[in-house]
Amino acid sequence: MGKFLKVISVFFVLCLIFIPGLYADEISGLKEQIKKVQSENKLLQEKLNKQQEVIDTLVKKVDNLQAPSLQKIPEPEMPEESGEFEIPKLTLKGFADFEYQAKLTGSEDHNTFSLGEVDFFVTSKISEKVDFLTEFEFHPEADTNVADFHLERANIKYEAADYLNIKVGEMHTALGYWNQEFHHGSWLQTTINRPEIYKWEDDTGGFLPLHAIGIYLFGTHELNNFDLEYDLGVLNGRGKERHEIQNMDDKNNFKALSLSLSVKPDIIEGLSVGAVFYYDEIPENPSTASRAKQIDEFIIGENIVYKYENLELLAEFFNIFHDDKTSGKDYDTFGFYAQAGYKIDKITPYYRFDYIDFEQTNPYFTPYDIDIQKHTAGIRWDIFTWNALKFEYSYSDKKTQENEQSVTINTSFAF
Amino acid sequence: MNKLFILIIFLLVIAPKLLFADSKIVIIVNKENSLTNVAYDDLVKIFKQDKKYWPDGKKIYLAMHESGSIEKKFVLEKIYKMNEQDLKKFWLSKIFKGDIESFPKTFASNDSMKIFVNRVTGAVGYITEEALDDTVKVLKVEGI
Repeated sequence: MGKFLKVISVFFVLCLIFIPGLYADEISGLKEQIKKVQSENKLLQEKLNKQQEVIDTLVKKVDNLQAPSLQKIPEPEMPEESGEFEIPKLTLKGFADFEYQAKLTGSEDHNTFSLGEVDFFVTSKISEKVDFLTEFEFHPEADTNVADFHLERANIKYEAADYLNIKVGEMHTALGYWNQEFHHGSWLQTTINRPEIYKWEDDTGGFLPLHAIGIYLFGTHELNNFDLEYDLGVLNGRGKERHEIQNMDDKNNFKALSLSLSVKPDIIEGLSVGAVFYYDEIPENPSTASRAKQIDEFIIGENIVYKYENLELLAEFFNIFHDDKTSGKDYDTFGFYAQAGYKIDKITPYYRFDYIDFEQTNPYFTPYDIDIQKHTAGIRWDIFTWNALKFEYSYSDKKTQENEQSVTINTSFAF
Repeated sequence: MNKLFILIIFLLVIAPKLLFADSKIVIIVNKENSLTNVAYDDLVKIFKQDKKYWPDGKKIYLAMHESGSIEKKFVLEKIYKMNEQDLKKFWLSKIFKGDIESFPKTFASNDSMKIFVNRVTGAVGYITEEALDDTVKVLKVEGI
């Protein structure tokens, strides 16, 4: 058995050695044939690729020929316009407010919803140094229950430099801080209502001549350690009655003169201290016997304003001297307000005290010469960027009328 | 008492001028602007448009960044000392008073701010220090 296995093993080894030699020529022939076939395939593939490229190019050309509308046609370059017929652009903005008020007096309680002022203002840049501004509003009239259209401001301003500007037209008189800061934009002011001394001429106000038609020179001079601001005006002045604004025609030839000065020290940012001087000859009113002759008017005002970060402190004082040429008497009227507010995030609690002391029987102010002491406390909530809710309580001590309390909720906004 | 007085003077006068010392924001002007340095108080007036003309008589055109940017946040805090909402009210009030005709121009990036300042002779703006290049000029504040 062992011998047999040895013979088989030797035979197997000999087969492994000699059999490949018998077929070597045939194997090498086959390898050459494979190589030849491979090279032929490669040539054929290259020819096919070239033909495919030619076909793709032709297809594109055919597509373009069949659909000429899809071709992109380059737009011609537009030449720049000269702007010869371009007029200055207008910018329109506005303010409005609505409110609910409950009024409590000794003899009568009353509550109502009411429309506030709906105020529009338009600005336009006429040239680099010339601006136009106009303000007009629908002013609610409580007596007639309608809103009348009023033109409040319309003026053109020429800027020469920081220290010299000229404004011509109808404007709010530069008598103090409030009249120049808030105008008819109730949203801008912290409180709902204007101070008593700043009530409009056509309301129950007219304490001060708040509207003016004429010309103002104004600007800011930078001096050592402080800035000096000035407003020098020549104006039509007051009409023959306290609510009359002489828009079109001055009833006398004398022009009111107004000078306002304020100092802003560099050392205390946000502080402004100012003084106002105003002189006018109020024309006679032939329809009233007590107003047969003119009244000379001299107004002196002082104001202190401190607005820094979240704090607002305002105080303005006015003395109005009237020299009545009909009776020969002099009248001295005094009024002021002081207001404080501090903003905490979106909430601003505030308080204001108003005071007016008329010298009785002044023919120009009668019958609106009602002395008043008024306390106003409230909260302003800037609920959105351009919208504020105001909650206000006020108590008015009127010497010749019943005292009055009121609670008002007001929403005011800019648009 | 004297120490308290000195401290108050420091807080009111000196401290604001150091605000820009370690800032990464730079004030930029047009390269034709001859001004190289501005006092901090004057910078505040320029940014509030209380000052509207350069010393050479050219009108100042203020460029602002859009709300929410770090550049805008910087000027709100260091120059205007008010928040975004109060600044909007401030500008509307200026327009309403007739001090300015429209809101300042607003830009979304340092690059567009630089292009505006580069093209407008009287322009002033602000960018981050790393965005600075030779198309605009740095206006130093209190020499810093």
